[in-house]
Amino acid sequence: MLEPIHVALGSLNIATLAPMLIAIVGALSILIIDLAKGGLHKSLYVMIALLFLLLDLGALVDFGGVFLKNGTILGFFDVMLMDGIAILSQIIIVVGSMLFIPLALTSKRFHEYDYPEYFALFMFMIAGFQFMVATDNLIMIFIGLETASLALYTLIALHNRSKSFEAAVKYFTMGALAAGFYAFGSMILYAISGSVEINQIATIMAEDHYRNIGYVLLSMAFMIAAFGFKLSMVPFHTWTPDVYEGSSAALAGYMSIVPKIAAFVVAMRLFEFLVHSGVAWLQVILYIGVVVTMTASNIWALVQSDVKRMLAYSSISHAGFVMAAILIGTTQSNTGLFLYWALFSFTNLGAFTMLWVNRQKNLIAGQSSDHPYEKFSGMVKTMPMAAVMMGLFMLSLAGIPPFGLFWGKMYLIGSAVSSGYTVLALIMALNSAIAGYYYLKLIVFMFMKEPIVGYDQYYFMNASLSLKTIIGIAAVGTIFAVFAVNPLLKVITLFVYNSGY
Amino acid sequence: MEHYNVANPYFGVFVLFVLTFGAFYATTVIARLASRALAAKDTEKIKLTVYECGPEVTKQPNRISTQFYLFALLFLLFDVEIVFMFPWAIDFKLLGWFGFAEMMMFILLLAIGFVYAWKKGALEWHNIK
Repeated sequence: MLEPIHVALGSLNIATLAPMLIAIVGALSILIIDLAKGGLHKSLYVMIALLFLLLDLGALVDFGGVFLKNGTILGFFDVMLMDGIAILSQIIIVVGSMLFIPLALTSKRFHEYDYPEYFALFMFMIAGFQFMVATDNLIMIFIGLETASLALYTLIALHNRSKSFEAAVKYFTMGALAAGFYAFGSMILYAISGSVEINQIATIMAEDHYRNIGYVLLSMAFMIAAFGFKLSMVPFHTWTPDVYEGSSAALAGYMSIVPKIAAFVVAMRLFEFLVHSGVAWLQVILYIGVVVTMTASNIWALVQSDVKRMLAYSSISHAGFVMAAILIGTTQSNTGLFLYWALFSFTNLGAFTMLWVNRQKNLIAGQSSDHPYEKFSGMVKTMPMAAVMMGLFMLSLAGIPPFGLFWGKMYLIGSAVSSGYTVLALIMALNSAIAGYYYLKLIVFMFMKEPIVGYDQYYFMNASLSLKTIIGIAAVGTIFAVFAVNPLLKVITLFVYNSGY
Repeated sequence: MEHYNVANPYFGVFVLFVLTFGAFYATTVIARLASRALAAKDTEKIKLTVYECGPEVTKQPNRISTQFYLFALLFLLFDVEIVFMFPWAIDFKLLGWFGFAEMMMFILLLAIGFVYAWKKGALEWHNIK
């Protein structure tokens, strides 16, 4: 007869679940409120979501303090892992979400915000991303990934245009493929090591000196494909522009930030020990992936005629740029990754919000897509403030000092140089220069051309106070990044170094 | 003749596994053969029509209401949850209070989902909001 199992509740460390539970409870309470009294205005749900996200952020900051004092916190049979990079990435996820959710309060009515389910799914998605980063258990990562992805597909489709359905189905099929690849990769890792926890897999593989190197490489091939899809690395990037074009501009901006930081953290956990193990293949593959992603997507972005597609390709290029940090794999480069992404999230969300306020319901005659460059032509004459804002975000994305992303780029290129990747650093710098062209192209359209009659009525058509506030916050984050970089770097270095990356 | 020991507790599981796959395969093959033998082989009208601004609209003879899909989905959802409860019920004493608390949490979440589906009218025929 087996002994009854006694699990002491204290040993579970239920507190490690607190940030995710807050998000889940938020989602459930939105559903319950809708059941109790339907037909409430969307602003209530936005406020509830914001409130729970604020609580979530509070719990994370609290965890940050505990982490700095006591080190990594484990919970739930070591499935939950709250280390520095988990806390940092969750803070970026929650702050990004807090900047995104007020974008629902548009002045025009949109189909998706009439459903409280939109906000509930949104909160479930955040919980999924949080589960994904706060663990090194391959199964838990998979569950988090799928929870978040399935919610995200639905959010895209809720936009209720034929292009959104197309985008959702495209993303779904691609995402299903990626999930399959991820499952295959983890299966092989489990088969050769007998564990699903990444740090144990690393230990076991180091102990037998990578005897099963063939299998390791096979599993890494699957894993690179899976994360390539999620991070839109170049051979797997094909879904990105179409999906961004089909979803609402706000959601496209969100998709370029939050799902990617979650995937970056998992990629960091997974690839870091292999990059250092001397398995040369993986390093070569990552090197090629990074260089091709940066360069090819920059060249594609040059020829786009639609600003949203241009920004989609530019976000692929930025993801490739940041992927270099995982290839380099030093503490300095990993710190650079988080710094870059924190600054990027403000700037990029600001840029996409500027597209969101220009959202028009119907295309005018001769217009091929939602946001052609011509739409912004001569914007400085009709809407000077908006044009300056958009120009600011573009300059920051191009990496012009002293705006936000310049510091991220500088720090990442610096970390590449200091760890001997001189050629890579050169390619990164060259790519920043190429990228300058298409960002400046929009500035040329806005500041040096004459307005085109017909488009001017759409400027700020969708704007409301909350949208303007978000643009303001993004602009402040972009301009005053110069003062925030040093303290931010100190905190990030402390967190990243203490979690051993 | 060699005597094989089949008392291994997993042997039954293995047999079941093989049978499941065998049954699944057999079902699909039989369904394919049967439908090929029994199906009416009319030449489709739509194949022969002139393509002019899209094919001519033909009425589907066997239309299935989407309600069936919704019901099937809900059934699948709540039915699969039951699968988790059987092993829990068998090992109830073994798992102790921890298992009990876990299952109560699970049922609570399920109950919220169930009430949601109910209130949204997903369980009523032809009344989807």
